Amino acid sequence: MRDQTRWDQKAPLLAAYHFGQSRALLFEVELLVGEAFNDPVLKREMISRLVNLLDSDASPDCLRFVCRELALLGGKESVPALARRLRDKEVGEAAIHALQIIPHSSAATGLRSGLLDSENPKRVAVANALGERRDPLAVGPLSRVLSEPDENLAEASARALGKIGSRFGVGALLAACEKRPPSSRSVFSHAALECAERLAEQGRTGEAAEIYSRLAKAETIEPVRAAAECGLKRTTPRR
Amino acid sequence: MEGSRWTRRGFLKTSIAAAGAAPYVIPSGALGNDTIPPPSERITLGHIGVGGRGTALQKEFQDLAEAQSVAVCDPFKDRREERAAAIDSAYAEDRSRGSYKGCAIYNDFRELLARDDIDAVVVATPDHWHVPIALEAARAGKDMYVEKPLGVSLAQDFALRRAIHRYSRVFQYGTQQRSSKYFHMACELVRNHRVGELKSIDVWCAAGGCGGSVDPIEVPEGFDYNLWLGPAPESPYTSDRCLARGGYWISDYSLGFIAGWGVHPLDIAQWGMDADGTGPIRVETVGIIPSDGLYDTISTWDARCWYRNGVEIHFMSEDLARPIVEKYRVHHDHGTTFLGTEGWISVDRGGIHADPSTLLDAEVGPEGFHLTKSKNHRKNFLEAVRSRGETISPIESAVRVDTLSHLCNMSARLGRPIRWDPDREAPIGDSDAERMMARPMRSPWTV
Repeated sequence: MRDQTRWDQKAPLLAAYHFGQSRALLFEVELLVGEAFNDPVLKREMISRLVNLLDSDASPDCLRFVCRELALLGGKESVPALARRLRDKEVGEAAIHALQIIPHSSAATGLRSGLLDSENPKRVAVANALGERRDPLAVGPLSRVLSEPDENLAEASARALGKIGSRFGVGALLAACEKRPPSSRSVFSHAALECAERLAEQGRTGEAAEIYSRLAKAETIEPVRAAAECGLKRTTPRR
Repeated sequence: MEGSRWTRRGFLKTSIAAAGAAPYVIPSGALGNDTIPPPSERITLGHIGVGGRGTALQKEFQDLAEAQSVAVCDPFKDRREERAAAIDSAYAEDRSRGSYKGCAIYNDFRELLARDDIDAVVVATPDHWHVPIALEAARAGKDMYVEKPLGVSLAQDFALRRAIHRYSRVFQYGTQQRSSKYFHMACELVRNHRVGELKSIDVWCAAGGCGGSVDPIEVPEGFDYNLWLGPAPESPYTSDRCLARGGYWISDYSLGFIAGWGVHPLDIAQWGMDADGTGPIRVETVGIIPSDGLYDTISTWDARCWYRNGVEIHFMSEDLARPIVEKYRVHHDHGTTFLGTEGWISVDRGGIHADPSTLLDAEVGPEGFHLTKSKNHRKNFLEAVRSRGETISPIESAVRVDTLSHLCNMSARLGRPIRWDPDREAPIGDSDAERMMARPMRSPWTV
């Protein structure tokens, strides 16, 4: 390992890092990580070191920093360690964000498992991350949690389905919307609207028009109804 | 059937039963541009964020007869109460006639947005709240005046642009230099080739800061710290964290002055070179980030942005720009200088300069190219709310100029140049830069 000595000097200090200390140490580690971006061997070594740190009892500030670096550098090798941190009270959100950003499909798999784990206290963050990933395989799991009593979770799942933009997702949204308390319904309607927009962007204008038409006639809030009417005009061929 | 629809007023009843009294004014509505009726009376405004900048904006809107401030919102109790009292006092005459029923006060912006008698909102919060609140405002059918900079990530910027279009909202970006005579004149002269062929643009603004207390203390009474943080990570409260400089210079809440101040002169550069619909193809930045203290955004920077048309923007913090600027003219802490084959034109808030000075002798005649003219940024916004037309600083130009700041920030933090495709609005062959386009948001917040 070409930079092992440098890392060995930094790692114990990094493990004990906490807010308020000088960031000079973090800059030095960032530099090491930066050097690894374009060197596959160095990259593998660096990911392995960061993963080891993530699995250790390092300080929460250190672990969050490691998650940020893995979000930039990590691949499938870092997914299991990040997934192990997914439920962590202090580090969970940083780990979830890393899984959101890492392109490898195993990161999405980890998030989907996290969503369906009813004991996981970070399911809202997981649902948000799946939406940001635009993960089409998450449509099923997200649809399933739409009926959860936890409003934050149901709304996060609805928003995520809107961003993914699938026909199946919009069906689940509209069906679940009617069963939600009034305070949640607008979130579901906005999500269905976004779904329609994304379908239209994919050239699936017929499907989009169908959703717009349903929303325009539905009992929904005025901004959604008005936007649906505009969407309907855009996606319906002139006769 | 119209009567069975779940209306905004119905939503108001179910979500915030006690939103507070307010004047009834027919709102501008939420229909498409071709179907929205104009407000019958004054445009009703809700002010979200009434700290230093938010208060200044509120006062400026208050001076305009077309608008009426009816609600304020801020997680600082003293700020929101003080501003509401000042508004009530300013409208005292209206109140005595019964046409004004008082300024409502909110801690949580969602309650303000749920009111269906508010036409538009003025968003002047710390940077990390600009896009999340603006997005919710669009979803609630409100038009909006949003302070700069835009999002704390490019993903946020793009999400807001989609929402503005989806809900047909009027958007004015807080780049008020576009409504200032000197900046308008400079950009119009450059567009009409007074400097000959444009070669490069020097852009500079105030540098960022360092320091800030890192000693955790108790959150003061009357301050909703959790809501102030919102989508930003949980962090120990310190005396400097939530004051203006904390909002400006802590990376959890902003990009620093590379965006917060930088968008002003950068916006003029983009406007003058006719780049509102495009962006650079390559950006290279070096910068300094303070290693100690609370503030951790780039404080000093030297950035170069190259465009397809061959023009180069040299964007610097004021400390680095000084020797360059002083070669040309009296130095100010911000400005934009257009350099062409026939001379240069330089503009800041203090005035306009040129070499040769004859470049400024005559304004552009009727046969020349003319930019949209606005003498008052707030008024321009209100006119667009009424007409459903476009503002002078619409969402498109806002996203494009914000992109410049983001790319400069990303290049400095990655320590290398970024190649950018301005058509796809994505990095070219750079997965690391691509990963930096999003940033985490603390749940349940998302855009």
